[in-house]
Amino acid sequence: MSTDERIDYTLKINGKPYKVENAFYSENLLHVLRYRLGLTGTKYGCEHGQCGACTVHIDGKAVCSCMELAACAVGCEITTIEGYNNQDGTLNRLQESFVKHAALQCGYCTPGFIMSAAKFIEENPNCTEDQVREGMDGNLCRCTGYNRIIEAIKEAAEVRK
Amino acid sequence: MIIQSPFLAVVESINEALDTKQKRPSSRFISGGTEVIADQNLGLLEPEGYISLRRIKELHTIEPKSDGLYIGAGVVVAQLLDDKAMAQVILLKKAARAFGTRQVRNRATVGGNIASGLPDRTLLPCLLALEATVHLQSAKGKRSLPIKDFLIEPGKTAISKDEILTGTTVPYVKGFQEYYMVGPRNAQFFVTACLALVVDEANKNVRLGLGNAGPTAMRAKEAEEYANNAIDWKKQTVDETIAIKFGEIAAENCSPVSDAAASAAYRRHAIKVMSKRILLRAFERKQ
Repeated sequence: MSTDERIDYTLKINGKPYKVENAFYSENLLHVLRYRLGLTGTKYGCEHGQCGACTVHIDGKAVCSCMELAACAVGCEITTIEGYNNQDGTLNRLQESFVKHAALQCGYCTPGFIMSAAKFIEENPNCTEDQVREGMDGNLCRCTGYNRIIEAIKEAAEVRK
Repeated sequence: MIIQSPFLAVVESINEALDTKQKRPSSRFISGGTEVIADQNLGLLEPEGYISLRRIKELHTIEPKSDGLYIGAGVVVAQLLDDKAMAQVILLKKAARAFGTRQVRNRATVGGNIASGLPDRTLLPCLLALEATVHLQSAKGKRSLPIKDFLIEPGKTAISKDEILTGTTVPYVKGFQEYYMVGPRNAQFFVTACLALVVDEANKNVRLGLGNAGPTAMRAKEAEEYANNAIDWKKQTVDETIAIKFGEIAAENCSPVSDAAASAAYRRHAIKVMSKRILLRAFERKQ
């Protein structure tokens, strides 16, 4: 690729501006977050919208950062797992619930699950277990299995009520 | 125009998009990115530039009109689930629930799903069964055509290089509407096979759209013809033997492919079984 294919832009991530310089126009947001900005909490999974490990919030919607052109997210509010933690670094209610239920083993899928679940609970505050199962259809876990994750999300949703 | 570089343009109006396309004919329109960027990530696509249509507000409207519900090409699938006006076209709302994952539904657009022209896409069999119209626009003007004439071959549609798909009009049909699919996973963004049934009570006919049962999404014309004659429209009933025959005819007259997801025989069997079930379901409540 020639040099004139590169562009500069500023992304607003977790409330702060991040300058991205000399980036290929075709780079996806996941790549920019991890390898240009060092925000490695967002995980690299399947890169085609199957696993949900790369889930972030853009303008209040949970989306896969792997299928988002980073430059097209200019002007949007982006929240990653780093920005979803409490400001003082402690765990929030949903994260505590994951710990309590041992809803993780290797932990690779967890940031994606947390980001998806956070939006799901927000949009469906009185959810049933079936709704949680359907609502979390965009995230895959290959070690723990899903029951503990569903239980953790269900409990976090109940506490919210 | 929000971004203008030699290879990426983020435009804010249809005219801006068409102008940019004329200046850079090899660039590609993109909106949700759930197909294009996924293909790029997998190395299937070498982009020569993108024109992002996502910020074009006029493409995001869902509007009830006299001839049907107008759905803009930029409407995301999540909107099909949430928008109140979608109660008038219940089939698309049902299909939207079986469409990809939550994250994908927040990004994938109605226009992208139609313009892909691929046989395994969710909305195409539904729009065929509803006899929707597709709207295209170029610098020369606008044109509209029935969805059946829009789909030509796998991945190839009637859209020309200087045209943009602006939306679709879906007629209101009174009667049962349902969508069935089989796939490796509920949240898969392609289906192994799917079908959509629309019962038009006013005109006393059924319309069956098939997905991934041939080179493009298609209507099961032979099965429809059989059912239209066999159904007792006065009593609004269907015998199981009629439903079985309906499924067999639909399966006999489709031409699915064998690929990594399933064999042609499996797809044919799935069409046969789902067609039978969906027809029985359509008339069961009235018995």
